[in-house]
Amino acid sequence: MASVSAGIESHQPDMTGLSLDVIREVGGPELRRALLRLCREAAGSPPRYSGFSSNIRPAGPQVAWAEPDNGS
Amino acid sequence: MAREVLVPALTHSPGWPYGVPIEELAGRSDWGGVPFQQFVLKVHSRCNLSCTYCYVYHQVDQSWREQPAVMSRHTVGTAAVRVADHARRHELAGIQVILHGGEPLLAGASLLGHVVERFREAMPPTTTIAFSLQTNAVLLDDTMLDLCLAHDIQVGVSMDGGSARHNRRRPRRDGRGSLDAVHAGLARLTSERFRAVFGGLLCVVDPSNDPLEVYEGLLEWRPPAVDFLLPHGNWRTRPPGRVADELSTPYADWLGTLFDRWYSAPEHETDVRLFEEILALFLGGHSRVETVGLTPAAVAVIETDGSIEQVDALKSAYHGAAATGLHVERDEFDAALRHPGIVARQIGAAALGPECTLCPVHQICGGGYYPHRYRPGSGFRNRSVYCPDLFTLINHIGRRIRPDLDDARRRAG
Repeated sequence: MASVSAGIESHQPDMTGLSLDVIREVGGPELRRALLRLCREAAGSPPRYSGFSSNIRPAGPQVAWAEPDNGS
Repeated sequence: MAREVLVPALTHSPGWPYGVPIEELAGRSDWGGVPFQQFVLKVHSRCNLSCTYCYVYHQVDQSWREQPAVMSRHTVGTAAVRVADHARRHELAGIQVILHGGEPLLAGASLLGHVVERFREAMPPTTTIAFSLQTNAVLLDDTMLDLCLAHDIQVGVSMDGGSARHNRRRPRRDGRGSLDAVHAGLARLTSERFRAVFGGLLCVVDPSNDPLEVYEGLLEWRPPAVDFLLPHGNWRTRPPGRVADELSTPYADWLGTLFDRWYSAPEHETDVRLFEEILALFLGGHSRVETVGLTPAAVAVIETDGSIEQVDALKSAYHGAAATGLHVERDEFDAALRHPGIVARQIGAAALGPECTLCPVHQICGGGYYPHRYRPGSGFRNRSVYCPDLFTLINHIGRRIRPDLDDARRRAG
């Protein structure tokens, strides 16, 4: 395993506590976009699958599926 | 009831997850799996380029030689019905079909149009279907682009930055450079007429290139999305420059420089998928791409002959590594959901070995891309061969965003 260096948190920050007003004031566009994505995901169904890496298209919202009745 | 998966005979034991009972892998007796939502259709098995790092033609798996060159219309129809059955059975609201190869444009506009029509006809009315295509752009002419526009097929282009290096790494099969043709195709795709179907650019990382020069070169096409892929390798066949010395992190250094450039831009320039997914994971979200995070992978590949396979990047591990033994003529996709290789990619941290689960960043890297974890004997329950790079890059990104998050928290009170 790579040696552990300082600076990384072992837990992930809970961003759901930030209001949209605060997020909109975040200085960098990329962090702001990431926070807004998390807000969207928190408001609806979070994406529950990951997709194929050898293809690129603009990311759209993912849709969940209905859980089967019998788990099979 | 789906029939039990038969793992095809191999010349050696591939190791974990093969040989482990599904119930033990999944940790439950009633494992159903996460339904497939992306279907990669290998409409053509050959390519007009001969990229030096290609995992289909230039690595250990040579199964392309046994494939027909082009998918038959019969196989297209059968695959469409199987996918539609899967969507119906699992009440999928939407799926994606990715036209892939080889080089998918070699299949010709007529067949590609037939694929789209056949899948749309087969799909239940409650399931939306999104098409995309990944091409080297050499054959991207007006006829192809009119087809993509008519059917709303999003077109992703694979290219490496820098003319001399692109031509060296992505030559035509006769050795001539491909860049002029790629640029001509991209110029058409990015014209006002066709820009609506421009999906973005994929670039394989070459640490000997200047990352900023590569990125700026890609940005000139104003792509809506970009991703940087690590060349495939594993513990037996290390990627170029990924030496045993774990203090050396050439890929993290390259990507870290790029992250700083992208993250510090005053305005959003393009989506960089790898970075966006790492940011989302840092914030407690899920990844939408299989290369990082622990979100279940929901990708099935349909080979040119109709075989159902796992992701094609596994072909970099050993001959037959992507095979499942299943085929659209006789098997439902649900059968693949019980294939050990598919299950292993849907069970999150349970697929990781102890050296990963003890690591503070394992929920972000997810152990690295599954094919990159392969080691003969132990199989895929290893950390990624890129572990030092992933760890360094994730630390770098974490340190970079931390002050901005702290600032946001302070303002939130």
